[in-house]
Amino acid sequence: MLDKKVYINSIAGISPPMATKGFPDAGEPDYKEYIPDPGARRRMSRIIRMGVASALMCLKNSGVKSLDGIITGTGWGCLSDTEKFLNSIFENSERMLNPTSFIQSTSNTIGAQVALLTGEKNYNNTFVHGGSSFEAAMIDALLKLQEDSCDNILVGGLDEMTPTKNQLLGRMGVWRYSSPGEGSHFFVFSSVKEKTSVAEIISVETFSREDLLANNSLECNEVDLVLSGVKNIGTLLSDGKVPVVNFKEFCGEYPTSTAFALWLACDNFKQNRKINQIYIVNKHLRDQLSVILVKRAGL
Amino acid sequence: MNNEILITGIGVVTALGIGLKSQIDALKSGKSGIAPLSLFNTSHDAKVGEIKYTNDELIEILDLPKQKIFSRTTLLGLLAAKEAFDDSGLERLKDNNYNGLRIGLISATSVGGMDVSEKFYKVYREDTSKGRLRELIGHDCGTSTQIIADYLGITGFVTTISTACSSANNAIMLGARMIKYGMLDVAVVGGTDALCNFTINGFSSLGILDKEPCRPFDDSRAGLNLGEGAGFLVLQSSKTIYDKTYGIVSGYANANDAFHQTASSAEGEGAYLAMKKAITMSGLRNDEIDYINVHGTGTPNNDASEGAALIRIFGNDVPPFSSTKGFTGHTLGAAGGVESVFSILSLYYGYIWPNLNFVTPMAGTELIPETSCIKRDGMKSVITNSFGFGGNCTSLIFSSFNNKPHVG
Repeated sequence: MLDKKVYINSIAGISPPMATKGFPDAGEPDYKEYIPDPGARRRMSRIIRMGVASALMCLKNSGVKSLDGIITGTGWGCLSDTEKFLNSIFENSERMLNPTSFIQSTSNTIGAQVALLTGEKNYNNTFVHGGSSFEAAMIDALLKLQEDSCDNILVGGLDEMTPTKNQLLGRMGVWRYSSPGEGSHFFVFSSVKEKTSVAEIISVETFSREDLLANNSLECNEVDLVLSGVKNIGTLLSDGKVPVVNFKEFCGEYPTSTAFALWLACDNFKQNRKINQIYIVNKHLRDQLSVILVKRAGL
Repeated sequence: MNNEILITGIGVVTALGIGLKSQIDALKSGKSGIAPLSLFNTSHDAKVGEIKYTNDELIEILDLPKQKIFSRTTLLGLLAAKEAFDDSGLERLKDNNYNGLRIGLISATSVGGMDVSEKFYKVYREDTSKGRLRELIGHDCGTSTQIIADYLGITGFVTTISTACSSANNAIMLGARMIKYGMLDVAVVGGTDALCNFTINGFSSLGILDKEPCRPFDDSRAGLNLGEGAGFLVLQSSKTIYDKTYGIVSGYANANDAFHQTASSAEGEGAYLAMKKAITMSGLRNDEIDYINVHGTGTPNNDASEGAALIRIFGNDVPPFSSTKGFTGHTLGAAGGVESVFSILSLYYGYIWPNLNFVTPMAGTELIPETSCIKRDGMKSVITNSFGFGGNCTSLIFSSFNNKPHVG
């Protein structure tokens, strides 16, 4: 449907749950390296620090000098700043409130901070549609890259787990069948194929109704690996013919976990020459089902 | 055949009332919807643009199940999206599975279900085993969108954008682009936001709430009034069958000011880039812009910055412009939806809406908005601006269908 091919030319991410599972490099970095200003670092909540650092890491890895857009997706947004400001309203009876947490409570804070720190004045957008927020950001980037003179877009998916969110999801019974997750992963999507291109994006789709997935048949002979965020769906689709990895065993459950899965897919292309095409399928709680299909760049 | 992006339906709810007619009547007669806050208790002496219906009344109007909890953001969004959808005539195709048209919904909100969440949190923070979990279901911004999609029977692409006060303009832009590139045949696009204690306190903490009615572009302006509302458009590819059209989406652009998290740059860089790129895309000459519905919040910073951008683009020939926030208050994530509807009404019916409470131009400028409602026939193109926290700036251009902009 879209004329121009879109490649993933750089990846970076922070996944605290992954770090606790024996991959320390995936953990939170020394933020001083990415956010040198101690005042700015202190003001930023953890999601902003994670987001900004992983975005800057990704840009640094890419070698790209200027961006044509910054697009983020976050299902939960800036939870800790939202809660902090809510608390301050109650604690101070609405008087003399510090605006910092209010300012930082809007979901576009990370995309805005990255623009501010890099001086990027181009396209900037943020998606907040639960478990398909990152997929929407991807679709927006694919569309934007169809335009003339649009070469590189930074795309990210991120969510933070806070003690309150953890406790509330526990009360809702979510942790009976999954474990708490969080993370921030960024990618440079490009309409230009480079030596460094890791993957090519074949398709991204979201489904409001699960039965619509039936039309999206998995051509098993072409897919080498299924990364599934929903155990039964991955198994059902692969029909035993393709290996299925439940990626949430590494990153835990959170709305933009498919950003982690895309990072994992790219990492697979780098590590394993035999894997050429990967199918990512996911559903976060009761949200939309999504499917992302990627292949090794240059195939 | 060109794939034009037609506007085939519009719907809106603001402090001026529910539906298109109440807006037109109030805009024509210069009757503001700004009044003291009555929806909930706060210690702030705030004047706001609130919708004079309780949630229970809105549930009644929408014929929704009474036992379910809906955020006010959802209810307002449902009203406007339904009006737009009905207006487009697509409803008639519902039983025929919309003739196979690929219909998407892209909504925008900045507060989401915060009005309900803050009630939950008040109980929860005293005892974390308390609080009705059902009240939290609507907290995420995406929930309101999903409920609107289900209500209208939209099963195609559905998503939600949140870029603070420019959110809805970005939703409209994405819908237009998805139609342009053939990913959708029809896009229901817009935004919704309800008043809540969180935003009243937030804007108060920033010191930019005016206790008096806001005075956009006036030298004495001292801040904004918050408002609530929703505005939606139905966009349709000209390759589909449609009943009528209000005009086309002829230009759009999003840019970032990259200056400060909340303040706008003195030279209005983000606003300048958004307007400039949208005009370039439309192929219009500056003198073909008949009206600009400016962002014009009434804060000293926004209006100075936006004014600087207007002068950078138009020099001494700034087209007739006005901010309609003196009527509705600043409806945050919904502002782009509401003001796009106002701009389309302006284009279609030939009116330039007045900017309320303006007396004296801002120091150092001669920018004078229109202060009374002007009837102007044969309008060809209008711009609407929405700018937000995080430097997010988005401008849209709507043009009449029979007077398509010349290219080249």
